[in-house]
Order: sequence, then C-alpha cells, then structure tokens
Amino acid sequence: MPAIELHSVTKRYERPGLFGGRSVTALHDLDLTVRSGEIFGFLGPNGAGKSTTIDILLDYAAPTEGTVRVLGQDVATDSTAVRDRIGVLPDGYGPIGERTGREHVQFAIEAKDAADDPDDLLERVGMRGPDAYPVEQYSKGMAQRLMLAMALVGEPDLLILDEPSTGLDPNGARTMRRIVREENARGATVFFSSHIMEQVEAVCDRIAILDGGELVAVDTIDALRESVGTTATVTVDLSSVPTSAVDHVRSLEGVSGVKTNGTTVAVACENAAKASVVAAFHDSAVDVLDVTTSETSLEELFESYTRGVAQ
Amino acid sequence: MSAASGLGLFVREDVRDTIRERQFQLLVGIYVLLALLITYTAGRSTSPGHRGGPELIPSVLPLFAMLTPLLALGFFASAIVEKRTGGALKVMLGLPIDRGTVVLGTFVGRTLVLCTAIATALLAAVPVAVVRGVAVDPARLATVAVILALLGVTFTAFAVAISAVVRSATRATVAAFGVFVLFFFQLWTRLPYTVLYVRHGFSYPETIPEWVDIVAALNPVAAYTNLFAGVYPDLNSGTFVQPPAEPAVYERPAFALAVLVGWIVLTIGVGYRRFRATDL
Repeated sequence: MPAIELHSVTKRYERPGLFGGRSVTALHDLDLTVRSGEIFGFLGPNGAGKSTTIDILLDYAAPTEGTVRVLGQDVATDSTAVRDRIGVLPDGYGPIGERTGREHVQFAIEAKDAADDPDDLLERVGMRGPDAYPVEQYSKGMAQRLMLAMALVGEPDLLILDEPSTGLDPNGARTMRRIVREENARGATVFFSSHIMEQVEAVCDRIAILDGGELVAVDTIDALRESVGTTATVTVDLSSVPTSAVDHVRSLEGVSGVKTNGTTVAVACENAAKASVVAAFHDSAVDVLDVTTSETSLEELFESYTRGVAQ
Repeated sequence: MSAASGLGLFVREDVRDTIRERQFQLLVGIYVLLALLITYTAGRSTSPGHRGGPELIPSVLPLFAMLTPLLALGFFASAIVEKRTGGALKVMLGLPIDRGTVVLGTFVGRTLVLCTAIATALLAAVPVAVVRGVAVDPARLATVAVILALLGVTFTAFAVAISAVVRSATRATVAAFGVFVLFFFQLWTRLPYTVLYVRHGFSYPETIPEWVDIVAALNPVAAYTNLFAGVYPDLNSGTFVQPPAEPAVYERPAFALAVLVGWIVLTIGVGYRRFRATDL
C-alpha cells in the first residue's frame, strides 16, 4: 500500500469579484505516488504549488478535482483517522493560545492518545529549557524544532514536513536530518518539501520536482542525473595543452564536451568515462598538475527542470 | 481517540485558553463589578416609604439583558478566526481533531465561560444585597440566571458561527456588531414591514398580516422577552421589545424557548457546514 497517492489532483483558487473574478490554477492534474517506507523529497521553486499539495494532503484545503489517499484512506472522508497516524509539520503555523512549548507537546500527546513522554520528545529536538516559555516568544528556529517534536508524537507511520529546515541553524538542520533518518529506520515514511538541495540530497531516496503546478520529474537523484545527460565534470590542470590529446579525449566514449581555458581543460562526461579521461591526459606528453571531478549538483538539476512560478 | 473524548479535550483546552489569555477573568470581572455596583446603589436608594423596597433582580436585569448579547459577541466573535489567521488551526487540524470538534468545542467552551460569569455575578451580588437591604428572591434569582444564560448562549452561538465563517478578525467584529444591531435594536422587526411596504405598492395595508408578527417573534431578543414575560409578567426584561399583553401562540414562552434553541442549532449548524467546506 502506498503511503501517499494523489490522482489527477487539480486545485484552482477562484476569487470572485464584482467585475469578473480571478482564477489561479495552483496544481494541474497532479499524479504522485509515495511508496511506503521511503524518504521522499518534494522540490520546486517558490510558488510551484508545494505547500498547496501539502495542504491538500492534510485536508487543510480540498482539491478542485481528483482524489487523495494517505495511508490507504481517503483524506476527504477519513481525515481524522488519517491524522491519527501521521505526524505533521505544517507551513504557516502559529502557537495555540498562550501555551508553553511543553504544553503544546502535551496537547499533541493527548489529542493523539499517545503514551509519549514530552521530555523525551523535547530532548530529541534539542528543546529542553526553552520548553517552559510561551511559544509566542519563540524564534522561528525554536518554533520549528518544537513543531518537529509535536510531529513525532505517537510514532506516526508517515511524517509530512513542509520546509522543515526553515529557520534552523546548522546544528538544527543536522538534528532534523538525523531525526528523519531515525524515523525512517523505525519504519516511517517521510515526505518533505524543501528548496534546500543539500538537505534533499543528503537524505532522500526519491525526489519529485514540481514546477508551475505540474510534476516535471519523479525519480531517484542518480536517475535524474542520468536523464539530464552530462553527469560529471572532470577539470584537469596541465603544463600545456596538446591539441592531439584534447582531440583524443573528445573522441572518447561518454564524453559530451571539452572546454579549454588557458592550461585548464574541463571535460563534461558520464561518470563511467571519468577514469579514461584522466588516463588519456596522463598518457599524453604533458604533465598533469591537478585533477578535480564533480557531479552535477542537484542545484543544476533543479535549474534544468524548472522554469519559474505558477502561471 | 473517540469523538466524545476529543470534544472533551478541546473544550477543556479552550476554557484554559480563555483563562491564559485573561479573557475569562476580564469577562467575570466586568459582570461581577457591574452587579456589585448596581446592587450597592440600589440599596442606597432605599427609602422607607418606597413600595416593597428595592429588589435584586429588577435592579440588575435591564443592564444584564443588554450586556449579555454584547459581551458574548464582543468576546467570542474572534474565537476561531484568530486561530485561523494566527496559524493555530494548522497545528490543531494537523492533529486528529476534526473541524466539527473545533466549532462545537469552541461553542461549548465559551458557553461555559459566559454562564460562569453570569452565575458568579448574580451570586456575588447576594451578600451585598443582604447588607444593603435589597430583597433577594432565591427562586427568582435562579430562574432569571437560567433565562439570561439562555440569551447569552444564543448570542455565543452567533459569535462562534461568525468566527468560523469569516476570514479575518475585522470582518468578525463588523459581523458581530451587525448581529447586535439587527436583533437588539429591532432592525429585524423592520424587515418584514419593509417587505410588506414594497409588496403592497409602496404603502402599508390597513391590517398588518399575522406573518409580520411571527417574523418579529423569531428575533432571539424578542423570544427572550416573550419567555421572560411568560414567566415573570411583572418584570421589565430589559430589552426594547414590548411583550404583547395577550400573547399569540408564537409569543408564548414554549414557542420562545423553541426559537432560542432553534437559533442555537441553526447558527452552529451553518457555521460548521461552512467551516467544514472552507480552505484554511
């Protein structure tokens, strides 16, 4: 059973007006399946529809068309039953009244009828101490940690995290990654949206890229790298640049481009061709002074897939 | 978690919220202070020759009858909408709490708060009344407290429904003000007359048809007045509605009670339906 199934989901925001309303399509015919047990990254530029998708998953908003199933249940009809089994870190949340951090966690524990110890949860997210203050006085990062603690209540089968690392310091971001891995190891599926590439690259099994309200890619990061074509760049510093060697490299299998800049040669190639590129320069008459290789960053991947905001 | 225990949790936390935010203390404080002041001054005006002397209920009732709808609307019309704009609803509805629980739980919680305020104020006035020589009729005190609470609950229902439907606190305030003017200042009674006037070719017919009076009796403030007049015909209920000398069926206490309960069910029902269908 998939953890999340979105089937031809469309969301239009209608704004009625006296002189003709306005309508914005935030999501267009979205199909997405998140398998049970995976860590799924949901990427997209600002305004692509990530938060709208999550709002629909959580029944904060109803889709204009399409069906949404979470953990095998229809969120439109079994919303409460679904939310009993998921942990949520929403976007645009706020404190519930003038409660302290600890009282928030206790509220979540009672609402879920869970047996968690608030101290353990607060300890896990590094929030012991500030938990005694009202959440209204929290900084963004502290509130974010607290919300994560609330999401962990009751060992949920699915964690839905909307931009979880927003406002977190580097330690907090590391804690977040560690907790995501721990929860996944326990058996939970993790679905999170982000535009921070390193976060996604570090923990995700698969990613989806959303752009302008449509899915433009769903796959593992490696497979996406493959599909973009050029997957690595080998940069070689030489004592001089022999034309024959450059031509030889250009003719190697898997090499898609060679660029020369002074005595530096940059070769775009598939991962498998890296060694033969380096060997070719090494076997030529010139000295190889330095070699660096890099994979296509997720950043570039992202750039090549997305074009802008929702129309 | 079962629906009942979920509602219980929500009501408990909602009442605690009003205490944390000092709303509870402020509301009880306003009621108690005014009850004490009025009772105290009623005692001062005691003159030996005055027929029967001052009594607690007739003294505090006119002010309380106006204050109760006003305070219920003023205090509670932002209850849910401020959770929505502040983002608290996103946290609550991320937990297994359904939207019906939010509307019903807020209504029950705020009802408890308001009823506590009314009861505390009337009880607090009793010792002052005794000391100042103001007569207290315990049975009447209890009955009036219940009727007054019923009026308060009806307007709490209006306030909670408004707060579930509107999208900003400003609109909630405007809507609450509108409801108060409509019902308390009798605008409601003018509406059927306007319809009648227009339908009769921009003039009034010689005899006013009965449906106009029926519509007028559906005003919750009129229903409260009719209920009051049925139980205590000698008391001024404290509204601008003139209870009829010979009440028709729809002006009798039983019908009036049904009208009040009907408004509570209707407003909470509509509020819930709209709230269930809305995007946060």
